[in-house]
Amino acid sequence: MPLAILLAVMLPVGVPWWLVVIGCFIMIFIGKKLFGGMGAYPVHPVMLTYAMLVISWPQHFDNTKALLSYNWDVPMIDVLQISKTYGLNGEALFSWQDLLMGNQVAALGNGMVLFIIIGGLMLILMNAISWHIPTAFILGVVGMSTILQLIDPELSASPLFHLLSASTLLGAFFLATETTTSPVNPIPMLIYGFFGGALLVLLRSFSDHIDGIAFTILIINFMAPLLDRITPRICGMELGHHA
Amino acid sequence: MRSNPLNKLLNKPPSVCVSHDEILDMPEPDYVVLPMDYTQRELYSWKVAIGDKVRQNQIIAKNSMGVCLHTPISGTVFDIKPIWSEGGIHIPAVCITRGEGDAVSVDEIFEQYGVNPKEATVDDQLKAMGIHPPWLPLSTSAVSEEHTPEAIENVVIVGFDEEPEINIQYNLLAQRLNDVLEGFSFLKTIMPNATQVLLADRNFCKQIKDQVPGEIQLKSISPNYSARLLDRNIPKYANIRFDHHRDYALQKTVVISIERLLVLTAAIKNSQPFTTKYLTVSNKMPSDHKMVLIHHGTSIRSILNFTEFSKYQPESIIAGGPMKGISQFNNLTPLTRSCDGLHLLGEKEITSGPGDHCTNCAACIRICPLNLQVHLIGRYVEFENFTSANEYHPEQCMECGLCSYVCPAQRPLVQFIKLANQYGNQKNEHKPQTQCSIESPLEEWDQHCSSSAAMADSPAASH
Ligand code: SF4
Ligand code: SF4
Repeated sequence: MPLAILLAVMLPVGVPWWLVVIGCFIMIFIGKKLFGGMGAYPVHPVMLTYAMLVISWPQHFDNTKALLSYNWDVPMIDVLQISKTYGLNGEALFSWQDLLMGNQVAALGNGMVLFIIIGGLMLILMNAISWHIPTAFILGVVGMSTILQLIDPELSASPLFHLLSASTLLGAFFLATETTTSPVNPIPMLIYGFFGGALLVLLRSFSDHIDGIAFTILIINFMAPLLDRITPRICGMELGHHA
Repeated sequence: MRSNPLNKLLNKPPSVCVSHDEILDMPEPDYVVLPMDYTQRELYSWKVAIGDKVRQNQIIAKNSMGVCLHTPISGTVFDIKPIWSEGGIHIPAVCITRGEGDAVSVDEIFEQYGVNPKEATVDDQLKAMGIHPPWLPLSTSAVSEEHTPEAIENVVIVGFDEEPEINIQYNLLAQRLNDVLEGFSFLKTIMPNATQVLLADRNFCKQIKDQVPGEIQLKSISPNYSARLLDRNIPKYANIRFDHHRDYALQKTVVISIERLLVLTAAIKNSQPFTTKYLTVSNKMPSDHKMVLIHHGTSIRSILNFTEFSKYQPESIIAGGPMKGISQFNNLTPLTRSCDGLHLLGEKEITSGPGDHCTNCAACIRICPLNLQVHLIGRYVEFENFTSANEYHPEQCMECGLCSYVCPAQRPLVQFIKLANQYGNQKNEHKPQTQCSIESPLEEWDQHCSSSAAMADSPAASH
């Protein structure tokens, strides 16, 4: 996957240029080359970079800051911020059509939900990724947010809102499916995706960070090699005739 | 292999090209080279000496099971020495240059074989005509009393070629359907207790559905390569449990191709020895494909000259078809009964070398018909950890080649698996000793080349 493009769509509008340079350095040299390069890195380099940048320079990672210099016809607040603070009441500010069409305050590209869905479906149709991880990821998000809503309807947002806001679908289609760091067998892929989706909602609701996508992906990446020990049955093995 | 970029993009397995070709009949070559071994069969011991005059269809060798080998041409035994066979192994071969002489008669063949033709059983007749009876296991030690044609429960006749670009069985079925049906009723007389299954191409099944009698089960197979893998289909249609490593004869099943069915019928009915073979010669252009009938032991070079493929200047010649075939060292290698096709690759179509790093993309795992963890085996072998590689059962692989075909990093996965199988049971210290395993055969190969050159210059071969 083109890592640099993924990093670019995750960065907020108006980040200083030196942050991008540092980010690329971290991504290529620490995230990728230091671990053995292509096919050997244990976690998604983009997510590693993003997590390091967010922790080091949190002041530059405020999506709403861009609104100081541009005049957008959208509610002037980060969608996740609002849902965190006001729950369902905040959610009422947005219609799902707006979220789908990208009328939300988000980073450079991760709010363009409609195009992310088109791109993800194309990847699946072209057999570049399999359907397991995105489907399970989305199920995880929906499942966990439904549970939270049942527990506390006042302070938690609806499943649809979680799905369409910020990086959820970017994570489901493009980040969690990164081949090197995700499992390859069907059952592990389902577990991996489901766990990722559920974890994302939990991090969004209970952690200090606005969007937990980076940490979610990092954590599930570490699970991948272990999950991959669940392998499908080899055809013909039950007869025990081997050399 | 189809080099359609869209197929590559969509990671589609290769689909099988089916066309209707006229069959070219190749004249007798100037010389034939008959290897004394065929893959998985017993070694043959030759009954002729250098300088002997031989006549067409004369028995020149016999294996421990009694199956004979006939010379397809009359002439003189020029040499007996090791050569590289099409299967990539180094084995003794008898070289015969063409000369005068009539074909030997049927009675003489039986006399040489050592049986009175009137008393010969079906087994004897087949063996005398150079065909391994399909109900006998491949290794002599496994043969016992119970391996009779009556004990066979399933007969599967394969009416398509597994490999893409090869279409011998399809064309034979289309052009000689009556002979094939006759063969079926003949098999019924030999193996009365068996259910007969004919596997044929999906499109072709529709055409012949009305002509095939009811007792033959006609099964249609879809035209892509992975759906045609015999190791997968035969257990399904013969109602045996999936075990592609076991001899089908030991599982009361006979699996033969259309071509072999015709040869078998001709051997018993007309006492015709098995000395010819159909081949498809192909390159990347499906319109160029040619089907040719050769004599056993004809060299690749003469086939390419005859079919006018030599002008194509192939960079690599693959004997056996693009997916499972073996790339040849040299165009002097003789082709015999086990080779169904020649596939020619130009410079641009060859991908070789160690490939890229594995990106864990799982394309190989999704395509593998056996659910092997191909990428892990490949990685372990890359780092020479054969013990760990063998924990993932590389020995189950049927070497269909699909994993290498779809791998976007173009890794030589089947070769990795073969290495894992070869070195897996040894300790880790035993690294592949590429140096010495290649050197000694190469010396002999040099000799083979020089002797082949001498053969081309000799008066016997030049006319
Ligand atoms: S060659 Fe072996 S490992 Fe590769 S797809 Fe075929 S059976 Fe699977
Ligand atoms: S070996 Fe090739 S096909 Fe298999 S996971 Fe690695 S890169 Fe993908």
